[in-house]
Amino acid sequence: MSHLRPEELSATLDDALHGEARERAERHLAECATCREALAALADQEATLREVLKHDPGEAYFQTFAARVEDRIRAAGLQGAQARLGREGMWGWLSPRRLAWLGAAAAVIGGVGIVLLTGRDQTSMLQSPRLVERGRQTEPVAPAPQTSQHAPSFRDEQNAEQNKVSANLKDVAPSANKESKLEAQNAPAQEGEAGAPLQERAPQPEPAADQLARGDARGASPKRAQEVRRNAAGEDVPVTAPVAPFAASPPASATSGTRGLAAAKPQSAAPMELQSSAARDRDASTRMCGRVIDGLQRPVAGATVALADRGLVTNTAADGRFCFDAAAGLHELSVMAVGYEPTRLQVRVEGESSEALVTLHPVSVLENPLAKGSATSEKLDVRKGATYGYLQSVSPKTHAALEHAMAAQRAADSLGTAAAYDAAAAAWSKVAPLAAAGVPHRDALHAVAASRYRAWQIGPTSARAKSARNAIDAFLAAEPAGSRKEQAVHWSEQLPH
Amino acid sequence: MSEAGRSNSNEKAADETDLVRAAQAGDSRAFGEIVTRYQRAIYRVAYGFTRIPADADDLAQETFVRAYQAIGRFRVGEPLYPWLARIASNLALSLLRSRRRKPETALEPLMEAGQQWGTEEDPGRGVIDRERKKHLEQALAELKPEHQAVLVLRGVEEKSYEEIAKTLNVPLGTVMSRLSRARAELRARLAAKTGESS
Repeated sequence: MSHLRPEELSATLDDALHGEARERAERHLAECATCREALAALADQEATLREVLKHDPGEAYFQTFAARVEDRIRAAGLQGAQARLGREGMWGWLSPRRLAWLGAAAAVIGGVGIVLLTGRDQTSMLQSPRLVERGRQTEPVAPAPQTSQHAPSFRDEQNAEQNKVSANLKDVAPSANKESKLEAQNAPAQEGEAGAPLQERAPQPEPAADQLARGDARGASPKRAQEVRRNAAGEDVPVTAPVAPFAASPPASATSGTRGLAAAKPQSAAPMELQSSAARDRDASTRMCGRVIDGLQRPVAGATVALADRGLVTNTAADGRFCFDAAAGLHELSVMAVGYEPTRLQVRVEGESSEALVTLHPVSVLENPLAKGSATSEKLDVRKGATYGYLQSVSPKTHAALEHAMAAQRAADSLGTAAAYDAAAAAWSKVAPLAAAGVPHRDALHAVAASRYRAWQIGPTSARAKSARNAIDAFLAAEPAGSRKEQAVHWSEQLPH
Repeated sequence: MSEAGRSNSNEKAADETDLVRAAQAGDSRAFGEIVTRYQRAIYRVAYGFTRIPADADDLAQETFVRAYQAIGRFRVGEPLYPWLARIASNLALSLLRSRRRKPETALEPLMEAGQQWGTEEDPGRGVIDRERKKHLEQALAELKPEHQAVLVLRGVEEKSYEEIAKTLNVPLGTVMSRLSRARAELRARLAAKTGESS
């Protein structure tokens, strides 16, 4: 029997084989433990790689993004004009909006200077000589024509919205103005050689998140919201500062006019954000809407969303959206969906409307078999790797098989491909005969059945249906009555006969 | 695809065509909308290639600057994303190639300092996972730029082989073989760093 070629294994992982090639690979994998292991290892590597490649700079970063691109484009097109401007004229083009933004950006620069400088040192390679040159030329100079002859801007539509809160900005505008000037005059001296345009320096991802997390005193808006997330111990952990500005202008908002609050990229908490339109009337009943998505930004339909204190419950639509009518104030939103960790967040609703974006994290299929189905409380919580009592009590061989299966499962949950679930099921089938009779054995059988069923759901082939049926039957034969058994019966009914 | 899904996607395509036409006619608001629509996707690609937030920021912005300069030559009716991703990939590949010529000291990603593992997790496992990620990242940086490119486009955006082929302007078969070789090499390099058997 010749093994699958690396290319075939790689393509199987990506569900990129079709027709006969695919069938051949599936047939071979069903029979060959070596190739299943190789596939599982590949899936594990791919899952880790995806974590390495992933980075979310936060909502605030994206709110300023278009504005910074615009600045960069404008700077690129105005090199000739800059040469004619004297130093006095440099900042004449700045609108109050832009001043406020720069001021806000300048306010965070002190706190994160080291990070910025380090980052900039590393980025010099990226800047093409042309870019460096452009940076030198454009840095201290602004496109003056903007003030007199108003050209259409990316931000124009947002200007109107921004004007609505201009009263809020009045308090900070003078100091922001001053700070931005200081920053601007220092910029060429500090950064001229590096060729970094000023607008690139301020809205780094970290400072933006840092600034929001501190809920700093820019005072652009009085609205407040609090976000918390329940950790594994059941404690509520603030995702940002305990009371962060709800509709405060991040560096972005002074330019974009879209006010929002982004979580400070928690590593172990669901990224959440709340957005609100201008809040003007605190007493009015507010339409609070939101969207529930998964880690890949896909909408989660049919999730149960409850506004616990109001006794309101609703389900998300196909696009993950939900809405409530709620009075202004603090509410607790709880979101539950099959296959995801229950998530709670506190939202402070103010103004005409509020919008919450809730990201759910998938629950490993292992959590049920090995955490909930266990006979003692000391059982392994596989998903979190929290307790190793279970692992230490088994033989090294079983330990290795279990570790391998857990890695394959994590990879499958992360990749979400049929092939990855095939690999996870294969890894769990190795654990089953090694696991002690009783709960551990049944847990392993359940994990095999769950992964086989999931693989069939994602990539419904006749071979997968057959494997799923066999795995489910094996589990049903061993499992006493209970919800887990009912669920497996349901799976069985879904499979083609 | 369902009826509704198809009509939705048709609407999106028509909407995008209008946006492109408007941007080509000089409507900068339309271009702003294009930026807003694709900024996240392009940032993800940029970060995948650079793994440094400041570089990703620079690269993502420069992608849109180049797109703005070239929007007049964009063929109306084509999807925008592959075009933008191609600009980003070309910029990133130039960057990676120049870095390979002048190797820099590998730097710790700035974000790493902020990556604290949840206290509920086993600290030992956290250390192992973090070490593995670090080694994987180092191994990735050692790969040929072309190999990094396929891994990034597949890993970050889960693009199909067809889309990757279009983005990198290479035949479909090349994507398949490059991905396979890139994964094998990554595995071998990772094994060499961690002492695992490959």
